Amino acid sequence: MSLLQIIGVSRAFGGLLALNQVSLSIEKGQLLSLIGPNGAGKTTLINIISGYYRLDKGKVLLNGKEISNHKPHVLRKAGIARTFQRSELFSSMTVVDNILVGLHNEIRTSLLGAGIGLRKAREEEEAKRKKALEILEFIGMQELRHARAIDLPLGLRKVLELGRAIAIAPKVLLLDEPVGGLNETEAMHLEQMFKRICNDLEVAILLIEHNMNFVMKVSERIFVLDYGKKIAEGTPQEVKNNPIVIEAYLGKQDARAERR
Amino acid sequence: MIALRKAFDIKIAPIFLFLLIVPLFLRQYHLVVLNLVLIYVIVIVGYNFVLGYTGLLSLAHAAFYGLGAYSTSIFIVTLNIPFYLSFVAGGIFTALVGLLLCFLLLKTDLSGLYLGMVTFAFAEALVWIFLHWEKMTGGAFGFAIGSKYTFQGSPYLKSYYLSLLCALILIWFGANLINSKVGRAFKSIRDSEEASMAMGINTFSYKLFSFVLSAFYAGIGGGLYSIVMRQIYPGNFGLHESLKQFSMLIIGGQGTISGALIGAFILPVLTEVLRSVSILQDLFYCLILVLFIMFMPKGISGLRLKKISGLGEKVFGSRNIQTLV
Repeated sequence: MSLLQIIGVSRAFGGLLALNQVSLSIEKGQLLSLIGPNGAGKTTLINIISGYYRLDKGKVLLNGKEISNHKPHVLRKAGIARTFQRSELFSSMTVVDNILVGLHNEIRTSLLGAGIGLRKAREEEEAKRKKALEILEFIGMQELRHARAIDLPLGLRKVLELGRAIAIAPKVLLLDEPVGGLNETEAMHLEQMFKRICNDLEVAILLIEHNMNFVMKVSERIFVLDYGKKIAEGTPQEVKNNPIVIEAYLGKQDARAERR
Repeated sequence: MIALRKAFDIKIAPIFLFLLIVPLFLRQYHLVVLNLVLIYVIVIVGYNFVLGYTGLLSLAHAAFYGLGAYSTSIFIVTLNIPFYLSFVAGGIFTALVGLLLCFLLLKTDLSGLYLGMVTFAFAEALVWIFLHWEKMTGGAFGFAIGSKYTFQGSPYLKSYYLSLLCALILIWFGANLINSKVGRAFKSIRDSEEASMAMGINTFSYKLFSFVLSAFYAGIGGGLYSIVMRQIYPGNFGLHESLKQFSMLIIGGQGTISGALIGAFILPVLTEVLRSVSILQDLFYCLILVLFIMFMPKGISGLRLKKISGLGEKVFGSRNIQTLV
């Protein structure tokens, strides 16, 4: 049984069919990429899996259990983490506090316990702070723990967002264009981090990315969406040479010839 | 205590001693002013939860303050409950009304300016009730608490110490909350509600909690106000008061506890200084509010933050992943 299964999911916005009967599945520790032209429905699919949009038809299963249309904060507990296309850090908070928000559900302290500052609450806070520092070490940002998120350059913001997503100890990690706007070296750093997340933490990653070189390098399998439909699926090599995919990206050859 | 020290970022012992001893040497007038400062400390620390930390534009805070004052007065005089229980009950009652209002606001998915407008309308309605439900509130003549109902013998000094005790407890409680996962949840909702949902934060409950908590603080503050002044009028809790409290938070600096404290201290004192030109007070608030929003949007406590973040840019600005790895 696959870790995450998406079965025949459809979603319409008014008359526009953003997703049409899309099915895919991911295994533990697998890195799977979702590509397609702009408006193909990639982000819509991530929004549906993470509970930001409702689906009209179909099912989402995690470990065989249905999780369709649950609220985002419930899905987080089930083990679904995500990042956002436009970086959505908690900009006025420090780096370590950003990670600590990711650990929110692990902190058991009650409201009253936190308010009157019970010893137990303070100890738990300290323990989680330590854990947050370990996560920062994992992503190589422990030196910057006291910097405010808003002061970070773009590359580090993307890394921090990834760290915050890992903090919730996810089973599935949904990444929406994590490499957009990064330079070559920064992208390489992320690539290594993805490998460690898949192999060491056994997390499944579903990646949306427009940087084709990057996608071809890191993905185990690639799904191609166009106009809300899955048009191809396979290893990077297969997808690269698939004429349907080439057509979706570049248009039909004879159509271009006609225009000339 | 650690959380408290962190929150103030200054040594609290001397200030505490000052607040404890100095009233013994003050004349009644100055004692009441200092008492008002303490009451505003409570009210503004409460306002800060909803406006400063969670980023919800609530304009009903002054009305909640009034609701606390009126309900406390009614508990004391009409229901003949001892005053030291009444003001706690007034705070709880205010919190319950806040719960009801906020529940409706969030259920209808209001946010931003719309939330502000509805809370503003609610506040005006509440003041209208204070004015027109004469049987209960005394209407325009106000509501008086006879001297036999509260402290006997040097009542101003005693009520000052009651306010001091309440302020200390509530600041301590608030500082602990803000330095815990609750405070982080508030701030994360303010910074990015979408992302905070992805982190597993139940944004509905936390917004509700922040609103109710702030209403409770306002209610307690209002209760203490009615105990000190012994006479309250609907006009104490209208638009003027709303503007005043909003100014306090902006001038002190929203989103920090020290900011709430600074604002709560500066404005009542200035009000008293400007008492002789009381007609110009509103104009003065408006002017100072506009100036602060234009030139110092983070308020007085923001001065310190700015320094730190400027330093941050110097240290980290040129860094990227390459230099880090």
